[in-house]
Amino acid sequence: MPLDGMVFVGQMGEAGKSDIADELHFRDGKFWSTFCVSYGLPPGSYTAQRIDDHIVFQGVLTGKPGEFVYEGKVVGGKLDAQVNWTKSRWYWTIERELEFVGGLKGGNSDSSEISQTDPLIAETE
Amino acid sequence: MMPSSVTLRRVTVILVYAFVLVAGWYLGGFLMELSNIEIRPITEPAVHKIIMASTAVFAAASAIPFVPGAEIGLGMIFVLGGRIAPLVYASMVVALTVSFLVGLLVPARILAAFFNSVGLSKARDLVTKLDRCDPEKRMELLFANAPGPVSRLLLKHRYIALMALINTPGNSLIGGGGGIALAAGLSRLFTLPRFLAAIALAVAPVPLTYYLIS
Repeated sequence: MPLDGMVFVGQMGEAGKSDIADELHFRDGKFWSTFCVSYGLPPGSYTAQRIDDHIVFQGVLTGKPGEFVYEGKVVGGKLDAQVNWTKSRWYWTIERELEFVGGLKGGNSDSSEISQTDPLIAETE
Repeated sequence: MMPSSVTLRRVTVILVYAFVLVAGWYLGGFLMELSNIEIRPITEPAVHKIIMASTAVFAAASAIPFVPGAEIGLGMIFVLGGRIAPLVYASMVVALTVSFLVGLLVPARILAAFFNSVGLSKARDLVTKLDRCDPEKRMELLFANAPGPVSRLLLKHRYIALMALINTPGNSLIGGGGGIALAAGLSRLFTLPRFLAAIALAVAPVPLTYYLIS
C-alpha cells in the first residue's frame, strides 16, 4: 500500500476553515486520525493507488461520533482530503463536509515515528 | 405554629413558578447558545442533549392547558432549521394525544383537584365548567366565542372544528392546544383514531412548510 507507514501532520475542520490540530496515520492497510481516536473513533480500512506523481486514497472511519468518509490526494508530501461526516440520530441526520490538510511528518515514511498510543497496538493487545 | 394548608399551597405554587421561570431562563440560554453553535463532531453530543431537553419541555408545555407550548416548538424550528420540524411535529401530536387521553380516561373531579393543587386555576375552572355540562354543551363552550352561524357549523362538523381551533391564533384564551385536546377528551364526543387523524392534519401545516422550504 503506497501510504503505509506515513504520518501526516495538519489541521482538520469545516471545509475551507480547518482549525483543529490533527495527525493522519497509515499503517497495515488501516488509517486513523489522532483527533478522531481521542473521540472514540477506531482505525478504519483504506485503499490507495499511485497515479503518476501523486497518490489517491479512500477510507472510512466509523464509530460513535458517526461516519467519516475520507477521499484524499497526496502530492509532493502534502495531503488534502475531503471528509464527509454523517451522524444519524433517530430524529435527523447531520451531513457536513470537512477537510484534512497536512504535510508528511518529518518528511519521511518511517512507521517507527508513530506514537506509543498507537490505536492499532491497543487493538491487538 | 403549623403553617396552614393555604400557606403551604401558596409556597408550592411560588416554588413551581420559580422552577418554571428558572427552567425557561436556562432553556432560553440554551437556545441562544444553540443559535451560535456550529454542529460539528465535537459539539454534536451536547447539541443532541439540548434538543432532547427542549423537546421534553416543549411536549410537556404543549400538553398542559393554558401553558403556551407551540412557541417553544417554533423557537426550535427557527434555531435549528426545518430539519427539526418532524420532531417538533411528532412531539406536538404526542402531547395533544396525551391531553386527549387524560381527558378521556381521568375523571374530571380528579383532574380539577390536580390542577388546583399545582395552582393552575384557569385549567381547574375549565375542567370544572366542562364537567358540569352535558357532552354537546362541552363543545359549545369551546366555540362560545365564535359568531352564531359559525359556532353552529363548527358543532356540526366537530373534527373540522377541532382542527380549526388548534390553528386559531389566540386559542390560548380557551386553553391552548393542550386545553382543547383535554376538553375534546372530556366531551366523549371524539373517538381516538379520528382524533389522531384530525390532530395529525391540524398540526402539520407549519412544520411541513418549514420542512419543505429548508
